[in-house]
Amino acid sequence: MRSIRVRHLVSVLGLISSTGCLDVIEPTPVSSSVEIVAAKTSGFELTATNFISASFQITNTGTRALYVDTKYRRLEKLVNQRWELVDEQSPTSLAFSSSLPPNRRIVASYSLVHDRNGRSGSPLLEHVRGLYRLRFRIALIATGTELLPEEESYSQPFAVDCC
Amino acid sequence: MISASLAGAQTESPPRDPSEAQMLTVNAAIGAVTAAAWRFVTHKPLLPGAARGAVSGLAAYGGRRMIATSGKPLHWWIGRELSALASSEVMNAARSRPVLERAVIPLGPVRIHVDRSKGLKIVPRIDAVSVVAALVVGLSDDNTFALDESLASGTLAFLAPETSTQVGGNVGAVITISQLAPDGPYYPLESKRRVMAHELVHTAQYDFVFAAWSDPVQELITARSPVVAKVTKYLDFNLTLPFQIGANTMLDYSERPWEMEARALAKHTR
Repeated sequence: MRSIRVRHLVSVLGLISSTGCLDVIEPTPVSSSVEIVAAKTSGFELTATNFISASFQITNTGTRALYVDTKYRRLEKLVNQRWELVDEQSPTSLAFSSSLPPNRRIVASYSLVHDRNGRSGSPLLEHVRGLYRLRFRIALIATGTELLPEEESYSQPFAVDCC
Repeated sequence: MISASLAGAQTESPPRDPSEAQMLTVNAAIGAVTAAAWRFVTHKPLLPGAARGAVSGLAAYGGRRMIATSGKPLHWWIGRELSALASSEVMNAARSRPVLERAVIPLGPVRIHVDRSKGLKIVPRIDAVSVVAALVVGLSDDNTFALDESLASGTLAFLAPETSTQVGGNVGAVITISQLAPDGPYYPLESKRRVMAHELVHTAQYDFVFAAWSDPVQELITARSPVVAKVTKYLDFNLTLPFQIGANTMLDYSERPWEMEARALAKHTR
């Protein structure tokens, strides 16, 4: 009788703990033609302003030349293991000026200033620390007409520590 | 209550870490001294109880170590229950009872009191402090109940907005985890599992204090007052909470032994 109770208890514990799996981080796509990794990141929180900056190494791992939009950036932050939009610049069609031949690498920078007293800006920047990823706009044609799919244009996640 | 206990979270200035040998020694000593103290009060020989208490203290530490080193829900559960059983065994040693004659098994905010002295008596009691803590934390700004994390850890868990100075908290065995903690190794950020392991070590420490001090004191009170016994039949009060809050208030984060242990153990989290 007692052993049955113990077995029931153990099975209940096993059931509860096995169902209680934690959410994993929403995956970031890996591109077959370009590799984007953060080389250096920094973040500051001042009284009225928060600041994030990062530089990225963009390596063309494909066989065709790529063209990187020098203006467009989309920043996402990990919240509850899901990526949430923090900041996105409006894409323009005339900004594809960084040419990237196969097997070559360029460095692109990104910086963001968040006015803590302002009404605009994402509340996710109230505190700088966190895990981020940045999406670029990359094209196969210099005019930007043949864009890589969005899922091929993400940086690998990068951490910003602060304060 | 909340602010004092949450001050025990893990991202203020980092404490110096004790070695494994130091933690083993201190936990054996805590088990021994606790058992011996109760034996002294009840006029029983000190040494046999102290020796058993030392072994139980080591086992309780082993449970907390299991919580911290694995980072897996099943080990969190087993580690907490192992630590709780060992904590109960300190009191069995103190009262000269047979091994595991009485045990307190925590399941979230509920504690299952098992008494094998007269047959098998099982009484579930709800931890009043945990319930109040859960209400306060749950009703605080922007905190959300974390079902997955609660099931995974066997304790009530909430996701909280990050405040830049705090990525986790524990009050009355109710844990909070920053919603920005990533479930993966992204140095220098603390991983979610490491934050949870740290806070669950505190929960196991809370279980020890409850089993070794609060529960016996409540038992003494109810033995003398049938009215209190009736009211508290299904309620556990953590009578040591004021002392815990006082200790948190008196000591800086880096000087708190319980933080040193949690920090040192959580460094092993994979």
